[in-house]
Amino acid sequence: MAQVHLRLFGLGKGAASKAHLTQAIEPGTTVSTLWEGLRRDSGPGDKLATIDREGLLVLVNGRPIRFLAGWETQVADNDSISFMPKAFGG
Amino acid sequence: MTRPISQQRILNIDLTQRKTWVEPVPLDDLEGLLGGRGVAAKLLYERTAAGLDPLGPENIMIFGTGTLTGTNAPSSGRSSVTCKSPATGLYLKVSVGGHVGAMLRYAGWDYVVIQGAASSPVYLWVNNDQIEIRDARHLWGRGTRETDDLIKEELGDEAIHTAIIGPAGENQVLFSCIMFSRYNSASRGGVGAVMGSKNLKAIAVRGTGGLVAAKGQSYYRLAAEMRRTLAADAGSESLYNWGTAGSIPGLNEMGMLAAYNFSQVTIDNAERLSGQYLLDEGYLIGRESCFGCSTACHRYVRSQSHEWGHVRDSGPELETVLSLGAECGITDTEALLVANRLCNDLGMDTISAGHVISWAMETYERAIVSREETDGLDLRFGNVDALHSLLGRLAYRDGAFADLLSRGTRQASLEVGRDSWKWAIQAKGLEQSAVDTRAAKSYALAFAVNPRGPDHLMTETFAEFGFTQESLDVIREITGDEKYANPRLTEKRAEIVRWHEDVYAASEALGFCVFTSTAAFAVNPKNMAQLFSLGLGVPFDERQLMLAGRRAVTIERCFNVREGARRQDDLLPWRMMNEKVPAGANAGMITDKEMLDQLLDQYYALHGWDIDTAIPLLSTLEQLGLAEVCGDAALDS
Repeated sequence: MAQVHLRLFGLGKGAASKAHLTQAIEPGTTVSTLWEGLRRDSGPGDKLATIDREGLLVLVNGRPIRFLAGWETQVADNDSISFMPKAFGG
Repeated sequence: MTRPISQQRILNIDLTQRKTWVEPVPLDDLEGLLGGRGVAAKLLYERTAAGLDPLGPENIMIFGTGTLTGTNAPSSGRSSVTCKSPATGLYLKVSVGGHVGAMLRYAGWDYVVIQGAASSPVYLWVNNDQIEIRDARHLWGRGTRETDDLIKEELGDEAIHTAIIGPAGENQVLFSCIMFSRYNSASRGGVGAVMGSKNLKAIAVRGTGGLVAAKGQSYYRLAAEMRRTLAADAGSESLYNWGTAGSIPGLNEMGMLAAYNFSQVTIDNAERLSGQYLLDEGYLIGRESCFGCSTACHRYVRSQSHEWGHVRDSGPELETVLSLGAECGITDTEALLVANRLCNDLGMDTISAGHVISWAMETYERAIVSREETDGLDLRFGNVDALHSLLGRLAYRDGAFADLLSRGTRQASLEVGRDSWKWAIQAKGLEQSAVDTRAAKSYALAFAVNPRGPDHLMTETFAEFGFTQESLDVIREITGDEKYANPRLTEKRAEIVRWHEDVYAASEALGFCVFTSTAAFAVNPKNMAQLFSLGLGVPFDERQLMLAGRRAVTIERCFNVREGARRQDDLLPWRMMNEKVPAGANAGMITDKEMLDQLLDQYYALHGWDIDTAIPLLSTLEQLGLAEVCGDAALDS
């Protein structure tokens, strides 16, 4: 079965404990599907349970989803999907 | 004593003659250049001649405050130091936070212009209207922290704020810095070496006066509204939570994290460099604010294992963990806290110190310099002991190899030879900050045309990534379409860069932290112009503000033209133009010379500069009202 690698950063202690996880996917799975799944599985106090989508930087294989199909970007076998709050400054 | 914002004064100090005098700043200069960076650019142009020795007494240093610094305008506590750079031989402006700027204004001064050189070490004591040039022989050789403590003890006032050089500045290391208010570094270009060449160890300031806006109630209401907007901005929240190093996970995941002297774009264990890690693992024990800032992006940290030494000090910025860390192949958090403290205490710019060492590490690994030639240091990437040892030696130019590196990457690579210049990550003589310009075209253009060399601290074009609705709005305003919020595109980059130049220069002239106007966007041309108008009691609009920013940028360009700089100097480091991104989402990308040339053509044309030489046309200077200021550098055709 196809699987993807989820990478979470700065989304709370609960999320940190599963910062890198591998998940099986069905054909047609989108970034949105994956995100909602993570939120369902989140624990109390997890930032990922409360953060809104506008506050997130989401990457598929390092590419921001705004340059792909946004939240409806379909993921494929062995893709790496990163979720993190947007950060600024340098 | 309280004085109007508009009544500004220059305190002139001749260290050779040991005399001081005062001049007013003409209101025309404030309206035309806003103040701060803009007025300093004009002063430097007018008061220096081409070809002067940056480390000679004829170089001047302008400590400038923002015109709104010291008021309740949000995050407006920035000040600047302007001089000719010993690293590049070109224009140098460094911007810095802390509280010195506000304290200077409360003391009654808006600019302090230092000329000449003292015959022995001195420090300057600015106590409101009382100015003293004091003996600093007992402070010479001491670190910035100890010097700060000793000056406060000597003057009997803990509320003093200081600008101090460390041993690196004293020894004229070409990437030495000045530490402001203990924790804030005025870095880049060897500004600390210029201060050291004048035998000026420190400036200590105490001011007890105040400032009043022409239309006080309206000014303070607008400033408060801007402060609320800024506080609610997602950018401010992330800077408060994680500091600038909060960007580490995103950079690493996007394959844009400068590592191993820019030969790689990710690094294992990158999270240990991040602001999130400092917070989650208990290193962060406090946050530091500059004057008037509620964001508090500076970190205050402590070490835990103390494996490399005890640290309880300011924490590292994003550029610091990249330059001293990833670029040197190091992700050990504790090691980087120590390296950061060493640089701050010895008075060295962490970006250039990191990059001169990462260049040395690559040169060593390629067996171009031997262990004997490195004075016994095993300079393999990842060697923490070597990093710490070399930082200490650099500040004192201790040994032949450290002495070589203390002159910067350009000079070191020229002397070592054998193609080592190809991995010297510098242009114009300044080490590039750790931004991958191969995959971000506005950044590439902005870095190439930067008068002080390739970095993000004269103009930053963060909006081209389009990460927020506000940044998309900015790109739409500049270009007419938010589709140009794409760092891979080459179209409209000149327009994006010039807009950011104008805003950046205006922000710095007024004293605003540029995070508020080019990363978050709560401070914008419209409300900056409104505040300026209310503060000074003169009609002033957004268009005038942008033009004022452009005037500063144009004078800076003219300074470099007068020094002989031309189009061929507007370059990026060789590696950034010739070696493609090796991996990740941007694999294969490059901003090569041909592409850069296209961007430069568009940029010069937009500015009204000669495309072949990059010299501003006289007609352009006339349109900007600058012909009298720097028309001698212009091209009359």
